This record gives sequence, structure tokens and C-alpha cells, in this order.
Amino acid sequence: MYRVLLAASLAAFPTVASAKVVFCNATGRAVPNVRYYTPFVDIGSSDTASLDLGRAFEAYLRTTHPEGDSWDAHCDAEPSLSRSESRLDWFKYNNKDAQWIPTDFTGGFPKATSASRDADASGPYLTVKKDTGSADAAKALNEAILKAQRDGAAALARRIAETARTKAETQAQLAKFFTELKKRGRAQ
Amino acid sequence: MRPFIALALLAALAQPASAQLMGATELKIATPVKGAPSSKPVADIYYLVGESGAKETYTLAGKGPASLTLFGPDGSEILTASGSGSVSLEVVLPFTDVFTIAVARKSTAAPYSLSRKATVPTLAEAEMAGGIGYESKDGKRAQCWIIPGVKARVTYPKGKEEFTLAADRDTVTFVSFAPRGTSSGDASFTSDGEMVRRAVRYPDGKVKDVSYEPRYPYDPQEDGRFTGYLCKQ
Repeated sequence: MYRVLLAASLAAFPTVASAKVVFCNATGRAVPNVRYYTPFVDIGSSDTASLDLGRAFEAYLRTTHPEGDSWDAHCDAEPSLSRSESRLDWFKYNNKDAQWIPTDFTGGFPKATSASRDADASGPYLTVKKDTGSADAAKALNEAILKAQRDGAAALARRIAETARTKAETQAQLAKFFTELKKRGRAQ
Repeated sequence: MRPFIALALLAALAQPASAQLMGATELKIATPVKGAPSSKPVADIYYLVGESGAKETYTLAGKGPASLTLFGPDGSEILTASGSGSVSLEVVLPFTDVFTIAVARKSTAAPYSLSRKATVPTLAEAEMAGGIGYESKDGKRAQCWIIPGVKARVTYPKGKEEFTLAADRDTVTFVSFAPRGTSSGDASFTSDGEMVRRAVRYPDGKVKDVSYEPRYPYDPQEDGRFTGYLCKQ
């Protein structure tokens, strides 16, 4: 859980801290189960460098890995190196079947360091401090309470939907949607 | 007593006073419901009838940590949002069907209100949103949102297609990535009142028409299982 402290005038500084530690990963049409990825780089506050880096990475892969003639890169910007590392872990976790291969391609940008764009060092306007473990524990407890209630609801959701479907009023409403949608299609 | 009065009386007697169904209340557009305090730590459940392609917004106003969760007609958890005090969940519906919402709260002793807003989808929006989040029963087609309501991806064993809704909300641009190459075009949708006609215009000017019977409710044979509302990347 984070606490945001106001430390300077709103007018003097941008309201949102620049947040640009980036890495890209790409896959080729011929090698769909392989994902190449760049190191974490610091692109400063540029809005377009992430796109440029993605295009350059695709071009780099076309040259260095000719087995895949078509490459599709995706770049992800985060406010700090640690967030970027977490994001990569998340991608890997959600693509367990893929083979993740690191590359040295940085597109000319400097590699991010632990100080890069860290939220704590993002400027005098915002200071973001992580709360102590007790706050995290309270948040986890809240999440657990809400999840238990959701799980209970999930067990009922399908039966309620199925029963509601059988109601004449529901069927009339669904039929009305269907008819009106087709009318809208005709009016075009 | 005239016949229609008798029928109305019978109908009134047959209907319960409140629209309760297995403990769930219907959530209608622009008709907020009030959640009563409860001593039980269980979620309150609501059901709603919605349209494929409609962008729906549910807003919970209350106190303390809470979450809103939307379940599909098959009981799958489509999307959840949590927060403290006011919680809002925005979702593009994948079917014209019945959905369920669970309101979970840390402290169930406080009252709250839950409201619903929804857009009216165009035919193109309804077509584009159909079945998104689900994988076909044979596992050969999976659909997810890249940007909900705007850009979607359909993945096949040997390729993928990406669809983008144009600003006019009536045209869908697609790019198809297949082993034989990449192709693209614009699809527009019309209806003759029965069948839907999809006209696809390719960059070389060629137009390909397909007419088919529209289908919008959840169908376990066609829509299979839920795999994820948002694309993983």
C-alpha cells in the first residue's frame, strides 16, 4: 500500500512523474514459442521512444534471427526498474510454455539501474513511500475477505443466470434487444 | 369482471412483490438499488440482462473495502474491481444474455448503493464483442480485448487477427496474420431485419459479402470456456 505525500507546489511541477523504464519482447511468426527480450533500458521522459525501441528491436531480430521473417514486438514502460522486473516476471509466468531468451539489444538507450526513474527519485513534487508491513498485511486480509465472498457468489452465479433466463420478462427483454439491434443495422 | 382485469389480477398475484430470484435482485439501467446492512459476511448478488457490445459501468457507493465482480451467463468470473468507498467496474459485454454481479464488502453492516449505466451498441459493436473472453469448445479460436470496446484479438492455432473499431462505430478494420501472409480490410455490418450482412472491403477495392443468421446469447457449444477478458499481452 502506498502513501503519497505532497511536498511542493502543484503549479511548479508536472502532476505526474515521468515513468519510463522499458523493455521489449518479441516473437517471430516462424518461432511462436520463443520470446526474445531486451535488457531494461531508461528512455527518459520520451513518449515515443518506446515505439521506436520496439520497431528497432523488430529490425534487429530480422537481421540477427532470419528464421523468423516477421517479428511482432511489444514494449512495456514502467516507473522503475523493480516494476519493470516484476512485469517481466508476470509475462513469463503467464507464458510458461514460451522459451524466454534475453538479448543485448538496447537500441542505444542506457541500461536502467536500480536508481533509474525510481518513484522515490522522480521529482520534488511527489514522494511515494511504501508503508510498513502491517499495512500490506491489512490489505491482504481485506483482499482475502472480499475474495471469499466472491467465491461464494461464483458458486451461485450460473444457477441464477440460468434461472433468470427462463423468466418470461427476461426472454421478452432479450428478444427486444435482438429486434432493436437488427433495426439499428438496417438504419445504417 | 372484464377478462383483461381478471388476467391482470392473476398476473399480479403470480408475481412476487420484489424482483428477487434465488436471493438475487435485478439491476436495471439508471435504476440504482440500495443495499441493506447485513450481519452475514456474504456477497450480495444481482443479475442483469445486457447486450453484446454494450459498454456497461457499475458503480458501488459505500464505505470501506469492497469489490464488484461480473460473472458471465456460464458462471465464469469475467472481471472484478476493488477499492475503498466508491468502486467502479467498466466492461463490454460479450453476449446478449443474463449476467450476474457480486458486491463483496469487508463491512457488510453499512448500507450502499449500486448503479448501472450502459451504452446502446451498434451492430458492428455487437458483432465485434461477441464471445470475447472465451475460447471455442474445440480450442481453435480464443478471443480477448487488447483495448476493451476498441481493439480485440482472435488467436488461431496458426495465426491471429486483430480488429479495431473505427470512430464511426459502424466499421471494423482488421489485420490478419497467417502463415501465408498478412492481409487487412474493413468490415461493415448491416441487417435486412433477419440476416446480418458483413461486407469486407480489401485494399485492392474488392468487396466480399457474407450473410448469416446473427447469434448473441452464450452458447456452450460455440463459445466454450472463459479464458480471459484482457489479452495477456
